Amino acid sequence: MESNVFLETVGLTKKFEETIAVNNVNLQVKLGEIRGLIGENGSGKSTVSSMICGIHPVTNGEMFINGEKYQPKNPLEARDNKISMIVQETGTLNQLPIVDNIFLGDEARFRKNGFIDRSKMIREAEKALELVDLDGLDVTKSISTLDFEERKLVEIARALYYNPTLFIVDETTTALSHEGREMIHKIIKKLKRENKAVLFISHDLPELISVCDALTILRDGEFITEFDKKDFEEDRIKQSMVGRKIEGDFYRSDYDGNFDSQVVLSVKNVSAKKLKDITLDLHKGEILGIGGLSGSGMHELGKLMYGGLKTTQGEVFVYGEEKSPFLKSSTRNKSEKNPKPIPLRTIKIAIDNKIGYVSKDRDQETLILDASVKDNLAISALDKLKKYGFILPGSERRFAEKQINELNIKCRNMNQNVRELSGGNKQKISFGKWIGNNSRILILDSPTRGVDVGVKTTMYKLLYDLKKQGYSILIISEELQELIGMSDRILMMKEGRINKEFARNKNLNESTLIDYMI
Amino acid sequence: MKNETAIKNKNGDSLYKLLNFLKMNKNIIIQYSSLLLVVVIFTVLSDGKLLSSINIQTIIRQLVVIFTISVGLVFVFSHGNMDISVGAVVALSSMVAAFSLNAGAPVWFSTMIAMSVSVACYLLNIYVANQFGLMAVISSLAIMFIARGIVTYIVSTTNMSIRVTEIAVLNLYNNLTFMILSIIIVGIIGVVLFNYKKIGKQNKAIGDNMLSATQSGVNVKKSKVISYIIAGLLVGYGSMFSLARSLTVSENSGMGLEMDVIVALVLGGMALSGGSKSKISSAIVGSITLVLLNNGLTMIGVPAEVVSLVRGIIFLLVIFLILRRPRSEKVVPR
Repeated sequence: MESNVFLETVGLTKKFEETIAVNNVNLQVKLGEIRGLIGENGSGKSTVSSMICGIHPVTNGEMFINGEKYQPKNPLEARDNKISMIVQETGTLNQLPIVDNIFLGDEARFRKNGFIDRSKMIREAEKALELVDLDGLDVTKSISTLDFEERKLVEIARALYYNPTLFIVDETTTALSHEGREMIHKIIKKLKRENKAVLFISHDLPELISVCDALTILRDGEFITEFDKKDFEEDRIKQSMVGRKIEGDFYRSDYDGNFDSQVVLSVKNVSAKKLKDITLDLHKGEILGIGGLSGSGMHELGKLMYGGLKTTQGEVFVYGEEKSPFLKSSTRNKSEKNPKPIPLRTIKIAIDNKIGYVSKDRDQETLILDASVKDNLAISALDKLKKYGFILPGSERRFAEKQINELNIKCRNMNQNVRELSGGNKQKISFGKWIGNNSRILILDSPTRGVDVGVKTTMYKLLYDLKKQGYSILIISEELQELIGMSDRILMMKEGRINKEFARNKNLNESTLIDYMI
Repeated sequence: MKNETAIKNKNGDSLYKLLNFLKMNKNIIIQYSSLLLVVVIFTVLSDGKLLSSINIQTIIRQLVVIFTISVGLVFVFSHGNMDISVGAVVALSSMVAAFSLNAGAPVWFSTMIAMSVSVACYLLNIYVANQFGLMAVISSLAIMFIARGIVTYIVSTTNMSIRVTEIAVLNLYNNLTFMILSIIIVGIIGVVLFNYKKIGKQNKAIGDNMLSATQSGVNVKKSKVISYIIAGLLVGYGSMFSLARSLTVSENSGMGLEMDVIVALVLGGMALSGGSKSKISSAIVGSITLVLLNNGLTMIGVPAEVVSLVRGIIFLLVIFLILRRPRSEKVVPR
């Protein structure tokens, strides 16, 4: 064996009670190498990395650093062994200043005569931030003044400050925008040039293929196989990830891109936070894709079309099946095809007019993690479930059962907490609560974020089925491939404006779209 | 031979299922078993006097106030708010009711007045909290001082404490049958509102995740206001029973009730942070447990000086059993 192996695990095993999360994994990370670790949700990727970082104790097996035995008891010991990790979730404490976040747990390093040398700490913090091009920041300001991406960069700076020999990136990039990802890619490539080792964990296969030198595949906690860069082949890797054959193309296969001419939701010359003079129509049976950079205002557009954002100019209209008696008498003679537009000003109006919204931050904004599957599905449909003014347990149960069966949600029973479910099933529940509520318009912000290939396939199939049933769907996504694959029309956004419209077309490719977002 | 192993497996399976069932329903089991335990222990220790008909009457008289109030406050606690103004609001409402009774108002009218005073206190509370973005527990602290302050001031301006002059007018609220009926009806109303109407379900959603609740179409402010009105109505109603028992209002009326309510809810298995683990049965079971506990401790002759200490220890034990998050429940990282 060559001597440039930095970290090696032999028979690494981790059990949580009866659950075996990681079973007998042998992994090598070499210096000067970017090693990808990939697998579906729940395949044990993050458990492996948290054992390496001393967050979870090892149940069985051994780890070696430079051939010497390595048994970290806590993250600080990992750091002393030159291992740093950035994690999937936010790893910063909101109430603290940036500088304290960087040196959290390591304040003693600046001790001088029993006190902490604050000015030295600040100088060092600034030095750390330079590593990620965040210079010129006032590090004494609270970290909550930074946005999500900048906070992530602060975390990276913290990791880099200790000059790690092994740098672990755990699913971080899925939460970041295009620019954020580029930044991380740049950093790990630089580390590679400095002959450091990088362990890059993700389930975004194209990203790993483009960045990594070698890939290790995990499935159900077990080591499956390894690939070297020269053997990278998307379909084969996917197959070994999922354990069954997946067709190369999992998007819809038709290219007609047709939909009903009836407009269901229309935005007219709206300006609002981050949005400038937006005009667009969503039609019945249409999948409309919205693409752009994270800061382009596309996420705000989603909130706007759900009544969750105040407009400074212009108005959003929903063409509902209005049953108000006033309208009926005055518009009876008009055709049913053109219902009266209703200004969409509140979330309540949106829900009443059958609009459903799934946020980008699904776990924080759309689901109630500590509540049961049943409660999550039923919460937005309570009015519908009323019988003689009461919501009876039976009707709630039947409602939940129907959604669980139709969407094939995998849970122990409907009383299981949503927190315990996998990402894909969580996403199905956030779809299900709206579909069950008879929503005809779905606004989905990053619908496949954080779900793996297998689930993505089911999601896409579901969306296509819904389209055929006449649902109108707005997909907001940073994954251009997904927009090209699924949308009837694509609107590219840039700096708060709609920059370009594309119709569904076989010859559309990512680079064409990118030109209109940057 | 084959059959035997099959049976064995079946037995093992059902044992596993039983264990699983116990694990899943841990909180419910603790909730009811602590009630059962209190009943059994004190019945034995008091030679059955706990369940004598005279003592049961005493228990019901002690129960009716705390029960009524706890049911109301479940609506507040379930959406994650806490309220510590109960005692002072009870004092204020019963004082106003006493004045109106003394002025010759019929008892139903005085009840309405007591309820309106209490609802007004609670509406002010939630208005302040909503308007200034305060935690409702802080605004309830202010309400507590204000209500208690008004009572203390007015009591100080009269030579004696405030008395209900015509004792007979409150006979209704001292009637045992009426108390039992009232307990049953309040219980039923609480269960129906909390379990079979929107308000309870929306409250739980708010308690768990306000943002998700909003995006699921829950009108958070409206739900909160409705909950505070429900709480106010029941606290006002409860204060009539409190007045009927003591017939006087002093600056110490209702003192400590706010803590009793919290203890009752916790004994009943309520998570004080609200959310989906909130149950209306916590108020029902918890207030009964609390009253039995207090009553039982005096029955078996625990000196009044140590009752508080003993209660404290029992309370700690229950919290430990119910609210402690077992270490094994660590979330498996992905």
